[in-house]
Amino acid sequence: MKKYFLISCVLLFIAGCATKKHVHLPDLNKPIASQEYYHCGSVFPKGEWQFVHSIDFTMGDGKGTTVVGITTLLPDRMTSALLTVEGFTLFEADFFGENTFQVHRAVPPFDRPGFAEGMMHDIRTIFQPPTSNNIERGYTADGMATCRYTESDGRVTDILPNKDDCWQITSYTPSRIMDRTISGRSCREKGSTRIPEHLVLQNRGIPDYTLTLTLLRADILQ
Amino acid sequence: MKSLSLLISLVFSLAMFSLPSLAAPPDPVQIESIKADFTQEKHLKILARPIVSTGTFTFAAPQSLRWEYRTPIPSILVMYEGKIRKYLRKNGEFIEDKGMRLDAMQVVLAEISSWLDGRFTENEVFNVSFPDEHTVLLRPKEKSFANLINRIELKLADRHGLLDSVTIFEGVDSYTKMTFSNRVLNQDIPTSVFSIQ
Repeated sequence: MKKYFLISCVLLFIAGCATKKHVHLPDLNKPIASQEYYHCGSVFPKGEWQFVHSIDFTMGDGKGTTVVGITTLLPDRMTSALLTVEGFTLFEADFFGENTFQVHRAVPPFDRPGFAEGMMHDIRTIFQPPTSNNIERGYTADGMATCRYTESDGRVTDILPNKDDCWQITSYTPSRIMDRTISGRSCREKGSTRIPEHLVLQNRGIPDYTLTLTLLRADILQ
Repeated sequence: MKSLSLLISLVFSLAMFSLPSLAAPPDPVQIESIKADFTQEKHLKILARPIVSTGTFTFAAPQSLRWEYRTPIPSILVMYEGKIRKYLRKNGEFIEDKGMRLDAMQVVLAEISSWLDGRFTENEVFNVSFPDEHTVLLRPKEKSFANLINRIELKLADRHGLLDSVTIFEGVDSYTKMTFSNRVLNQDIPTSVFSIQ
């Protein structure tokens, strides 16, 4: 009997390792500070910008590579390009409103179906505030000021403008399960925007991947 | 990704080869080794200003190459004894980047050998033309490759067998220009340069 118990324990342990623990949407307590404390707008750049990042791409199995990412924020669109470290253009596209886009260049494997949509989603999450007008402000159990945006489909985005030395964006599925975190580190102020020196985007869904962005330069275009 | 690997290896190879078969001086320099600094400018229509990279490259005959970017993203590409490996610096040390498939580079190595042997005009990948005595133009023969690279322009130095710059045109508004400086020819290069520990 002992033997079967041991096997059962091992199987349970393996199953536990294979499944990532779900993190649920935390409760928000009522605001304890003025509206100014919840300066969630400072997380997102205003005006026309261009960012160049080194991007470490890591899949859940640890495989990955490093590319250079260029993101330009314009009033009517965002443009993005990925280059190899050696300067070869892998991907270039314009992203417009209403989730439309135009791909100008996509070298395999960046021409796979869904890649452009995924990239658009990542870029929008990092650089554009949520569109919902359903905004709740409060603080989490550990005292973090939070702006909570709830979309009509039930998706939730929490913006924590004072997380560590920068900010954090966390999104949840309509089932209130965390599916993505973006953590800014070492913020420096440029105008009314706080630009992180480092960004880590962790996608907890499928595909499971992590993007680690290191800022190479940030230019205001106007 | 194969095409990408092909391109990358091509870039490296172009940067180092000598051109003994070109018209001009009758006494070509025998290339045993080259060491040089390079500055690379990436121009793209969407870029507010070019991305500038710097580094060094080292070549030793017949087929050893170390191409090292120092800024902005430290990386090394090493070709030694027929194998090509790429390394990226993470957490202070160089880690082999296995995300890139490099098998197509083996094919290009054959091309490199041809060029170094002076059989440059027999190139199977490119059509070659010489607009003037200091310029070589390479245009891909295959359409699929031409979709990635429109053309490559080589600017030759006054000294025979050396390059001033290589410009790779991907499209109308997209090109990468590499300019070489501080070139040292035919110095002894220890083999340890071509291995990353």
